[in-house]
Amino acid sequence: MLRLSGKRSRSIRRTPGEAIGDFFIILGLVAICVIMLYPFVYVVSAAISSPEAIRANRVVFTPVRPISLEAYRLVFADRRIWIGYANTLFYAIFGTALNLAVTVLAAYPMSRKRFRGRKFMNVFVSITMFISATGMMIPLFLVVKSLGLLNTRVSLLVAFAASPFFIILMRSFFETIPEELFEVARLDGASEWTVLLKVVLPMSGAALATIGLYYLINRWNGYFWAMVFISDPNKQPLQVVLRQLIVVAQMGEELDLSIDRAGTTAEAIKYATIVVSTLPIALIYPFLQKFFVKGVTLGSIKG
Amino acid sequence: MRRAKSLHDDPALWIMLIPVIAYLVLFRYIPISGVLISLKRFSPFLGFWKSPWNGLEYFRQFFSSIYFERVLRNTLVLGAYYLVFAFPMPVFLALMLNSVRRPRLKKIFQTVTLLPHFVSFVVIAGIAINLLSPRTGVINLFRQSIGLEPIFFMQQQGFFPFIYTFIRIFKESGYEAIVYLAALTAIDPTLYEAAEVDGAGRWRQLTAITLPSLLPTIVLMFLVRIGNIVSVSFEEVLLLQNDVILETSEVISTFVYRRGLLGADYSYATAVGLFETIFALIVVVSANSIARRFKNASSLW
Repeated sequence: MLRLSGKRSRSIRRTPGEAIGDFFIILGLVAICVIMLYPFVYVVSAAISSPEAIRANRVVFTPVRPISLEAYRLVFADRRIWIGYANTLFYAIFGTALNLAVTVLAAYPMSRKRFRGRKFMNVFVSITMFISATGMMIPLFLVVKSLGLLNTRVSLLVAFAASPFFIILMRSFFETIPEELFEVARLDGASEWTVLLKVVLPMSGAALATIGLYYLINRWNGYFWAMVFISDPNKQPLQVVLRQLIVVAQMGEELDLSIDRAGTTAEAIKYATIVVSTLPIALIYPFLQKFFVKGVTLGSIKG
Repeated sequence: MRRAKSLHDDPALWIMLIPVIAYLVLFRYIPISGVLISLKRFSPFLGFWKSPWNGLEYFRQFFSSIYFERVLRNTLVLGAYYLVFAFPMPVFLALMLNSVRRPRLKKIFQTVTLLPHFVSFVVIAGIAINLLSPRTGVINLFRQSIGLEPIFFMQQQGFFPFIYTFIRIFKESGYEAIVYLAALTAIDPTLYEAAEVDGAGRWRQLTAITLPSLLPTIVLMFLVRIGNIVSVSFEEVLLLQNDVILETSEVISTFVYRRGLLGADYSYATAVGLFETIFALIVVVSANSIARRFKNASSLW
């Protein structure tokens, strides 16, 4: 309402005490941001410093000169990482598309107030949220195994085809669309499919973007089930490959090997891979931030 | 006003539901009924139906083993640390962000604090292990530079809960602050104007308007977190722990993974998983009923 004018009038009258308070708040936030950014700055710096500098522990904050792109050369020369990247793209694109399709198709009928199966579906979907991920772990694995899906790309796609939570969230969003709109469209002779595709979806851009993004991030960052289901290196996503690199580097550390040439290389590849795998998400999320904010508030209102 | 109830029975709507029903039956309901293998001595060669019944033997085995106390304690300790140390952080962060007057600056701060949320656990755990390493980690390099002995943080039992909690704070504070920021923008600005007319300073406005308006959200979120106390974020623990510090880092979920998927002890692990589910359910339902009483209009599920 009058939010802007209220804020402005407050900022004009600032007592010295308040100005000092403001200063310390900004200082605090800068400190928090430094802590939040430091690990990533460190990785980026290490990835462009020479392997020798990493080995000599000379990378602390900024890159150590001479700048070396050796690590990236190693990463791009490493077939495992290419394959992992391609697989991650595959799981992210097709996985998210499948997630959205199943979610929309489930949420739409559930949002129709006069649909006979509405109550049943709500219960049918909601119940599955009560079983914890830990309780489901072994049984889900055994089901995927007995379906013969272990070590197939399909397993990761279909075993997580939709999240009950996001179905309910999407349904809540569809419910905010006035029922009359459906009725009018239906009276005009449009089929339910036409209503969904031509009326509902064009109105749901923000909700689709929000929920699609949640799915996308989960697909991109997902590690555990990919590691459990898929043992063939040709089908593993980047996170699994990355984890192996990290474990290898860590083992070298624990065994206290006097780090040989190979150890240094593993270290450098690890940093560059972290950068390469994280960069796409780090570049896009600032622009999509508002959708996440929307999603959180949508979820907290009607969870 | 009551129109004749013409319930839709359009087959098209049911056709749309086919994918989700198929998915839920196959990958949710069949696994849910699959928890029955915890009552059987399951053998992959015999399959589900032919494996012999075993009663509550696996539950008895788990409850009487040393692992029961250990994993339950670790799970609850990590949950309690979260509630005590991590839970307040997003509230502080939201209050700080909310008091930044320049929108551009506020946006930058918020973007930076959200960054760790979008980075995968694998990467975060990898960096953490690196920074804490005894020979190459920055923290130990610093310790050595001021003449202290390096500490192998990831191999000492006592550090794990703190490391885990710190990483949770690091990763999720910015994200969890969003809810509070949303609640803060919903406060009626005329309240502040009126307070200002009455001569209330910044501090007085915080304690008299901001905090009371935020309290319902804080309590609600707290109850949600208590409800989730048993289900510690599994992937994070798994990626941070190692065999040397299992005594303080093994939680119920990682134990299920180790025994079930690594050890192929399916029935036993499923029994432990079922115990976790029931335990978590009791906690969630009680937290929810308190929340209901607290704010009877809202429900956590």
